[in-house]
Amino acid sequence: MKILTFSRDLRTYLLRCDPGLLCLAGALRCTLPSLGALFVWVYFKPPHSDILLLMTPGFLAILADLHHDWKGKIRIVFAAFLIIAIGQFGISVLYQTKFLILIWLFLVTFLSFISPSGRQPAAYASAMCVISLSFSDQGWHMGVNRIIELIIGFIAVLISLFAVSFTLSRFQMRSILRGFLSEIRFYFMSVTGSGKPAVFFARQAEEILRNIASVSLKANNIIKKEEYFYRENILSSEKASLILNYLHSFSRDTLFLENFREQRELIEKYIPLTFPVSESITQRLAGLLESLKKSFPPSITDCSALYEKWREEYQGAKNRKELPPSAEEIVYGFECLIKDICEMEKHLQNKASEL
Amino acid sequence: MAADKNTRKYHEAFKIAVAITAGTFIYQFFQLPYGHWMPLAIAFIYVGGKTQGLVMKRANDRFLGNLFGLLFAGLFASLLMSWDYRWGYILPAIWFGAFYFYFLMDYWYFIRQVFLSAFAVLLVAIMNPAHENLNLWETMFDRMICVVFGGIVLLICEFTIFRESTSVKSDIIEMAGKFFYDCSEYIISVSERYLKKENIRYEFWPELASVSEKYSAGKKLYSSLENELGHDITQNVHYEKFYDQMRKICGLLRSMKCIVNHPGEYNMTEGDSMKIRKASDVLSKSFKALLEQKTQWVSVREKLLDIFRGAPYRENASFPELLFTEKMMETADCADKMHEILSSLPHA
Repeated sequence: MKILTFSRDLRTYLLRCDPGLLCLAGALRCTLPSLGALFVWVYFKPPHSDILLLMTPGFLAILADLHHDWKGKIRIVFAAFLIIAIGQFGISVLYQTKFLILIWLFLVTFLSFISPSGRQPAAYASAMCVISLSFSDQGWHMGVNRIIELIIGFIAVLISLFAVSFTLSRFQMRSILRGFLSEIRFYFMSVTGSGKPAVFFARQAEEILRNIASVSLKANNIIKKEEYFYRENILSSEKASLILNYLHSFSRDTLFLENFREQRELIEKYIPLTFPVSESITQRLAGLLESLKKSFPPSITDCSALYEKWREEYQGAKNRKELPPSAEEIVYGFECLIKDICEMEKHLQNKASEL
Repeated sequence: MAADKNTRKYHEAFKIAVAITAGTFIYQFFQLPYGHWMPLAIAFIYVGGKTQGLVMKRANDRFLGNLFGLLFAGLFASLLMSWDYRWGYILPAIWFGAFYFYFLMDYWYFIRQVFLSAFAVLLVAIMNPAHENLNLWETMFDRMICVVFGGIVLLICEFTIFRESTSVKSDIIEMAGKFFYDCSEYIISVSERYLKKENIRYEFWPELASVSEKYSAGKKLYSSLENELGHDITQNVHYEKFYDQMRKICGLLRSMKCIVNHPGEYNMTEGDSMKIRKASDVLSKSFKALLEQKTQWVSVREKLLDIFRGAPYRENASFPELLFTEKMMETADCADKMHEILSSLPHA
């Protein structure tokens, strides 16, 4: 039982740290080509094969993250493989003349760093070329042999990129949307004090705001910037993009609540209904989160009567000129949030199952 | 600016090529055991980033990462694999873990280094039959010596060859310039939409994201600058203030966008619209002035107050209207403060 609870807690923790499963996808992209190479090495036992075969594809898969389009991904990985292939071939050919190896290494490093392929493939390729210095078997035929291994590695990287993109992209999109919404909800709960008190004091609002900004950028990268190859993923990203727009609106709305804690006493005194309203918003955000989790339309509870009373209360306080502008800003933030939540709920009524 | 950047690229390439070649020279001519770990350490430190501050931090992480990684490999091989060779089957999991935690810890070089150095040693021991009976503790010691030498070579090259080429100071200035330019453009587009009563559609998002991205990139550059050798730490206070203002500006711009999408009632007259237009123009120009680093500075807040002359607080204005003007005033304050901070930074 304890193991189950622990694994659930660990999963929740890891999902909070990596809401878009970016780390998981990245690690898989780097592991799969190396596993493929290991498979080739174990079962086919290529003669004179070395560690380069196993390590190179794994390292170079990282480079694919630097681009959001497929052509860019393939181009950057290919550039790195090309530099390694040329570099290690030269080292293999010149192995008997140490001085020439130095000149060759200098030239390969210098030229690859100033080449238009960019800095990152050059940096990885230089490191891989250096590994080839340690090989015991050298000579031009060994150089050619390793070029063949590198071609296999390049193919393994491409297969891994396509496979991970095909299998994980949709999970990533849904996961980052959930992560984004849960951070917004967490922030709302921490500034207004609604929800469980444990949550209220658990993390500083400032820290959650930073997390929101970071998740927002990641979500934008996964859903809007990434150019997917498979049609299913393209369609999913279009649908997820509409939901992401609402979440961006939520995150902007919450900016008006920054002074809630300072104005708390004033709000308690003049607009006490703000607290039941914030409770209802928390519940509605939880409902939206649940809807994103289960791809099911959110259950809508009618809070219009409560909101009307709250507005009347606010109008009264405003007419009596009892509220400073910063308290009015908070009320405005609530209004914006309510309006955006309503719109997202309406959207999910029809579209939740399509996610 | 472009030519300057290009020269820096050539200088950086030359520096890295010299460092790797020097490492290889020492390895080849002194016949050090596992000597290729020396140029390897140099090359891998440069993989993570070119900036000097990062290089310093990474050299440190590389040393500690190798130490812990090799220790782990030694214990794993001598305690587990010598007892049952099937423990070697978990190597792919180590490889996966290395990358997973590396990404999870925001590209923390140390973590990756711990796992990968352990992985490399164990893999070599498994794949090369000649190494089957190698003394792991002894080879670990040899490797560590090479990593230390590699680090020393790298730091010597870093601080003697084109030192300025990897300093982030000029990058920070460039990034700040781009940030000011984006802010200037952004203010004009948001105000135009506000006046036209147009809801800002989501295609506008990249413009806003670009402002926030510049802020994040600038913050990263600053963390690199902090680690640079010879960096005057007394300047950190000004940098902190600078990034704090950047963060505030991002928040204010986002709020302005939200107000445009939730405008409430509009009671603006033609005269009020003119004032908003003038104010946004002044605000936008002030950011361009920050970009051009004009020495003569007239308070933007004063200019805006002069334009509004009490208008933001008129009786019949709706709250979103007041708030929009208020956010403009706050942005003006930030621009004034930004100018003050910039004049206190020596290389700005």
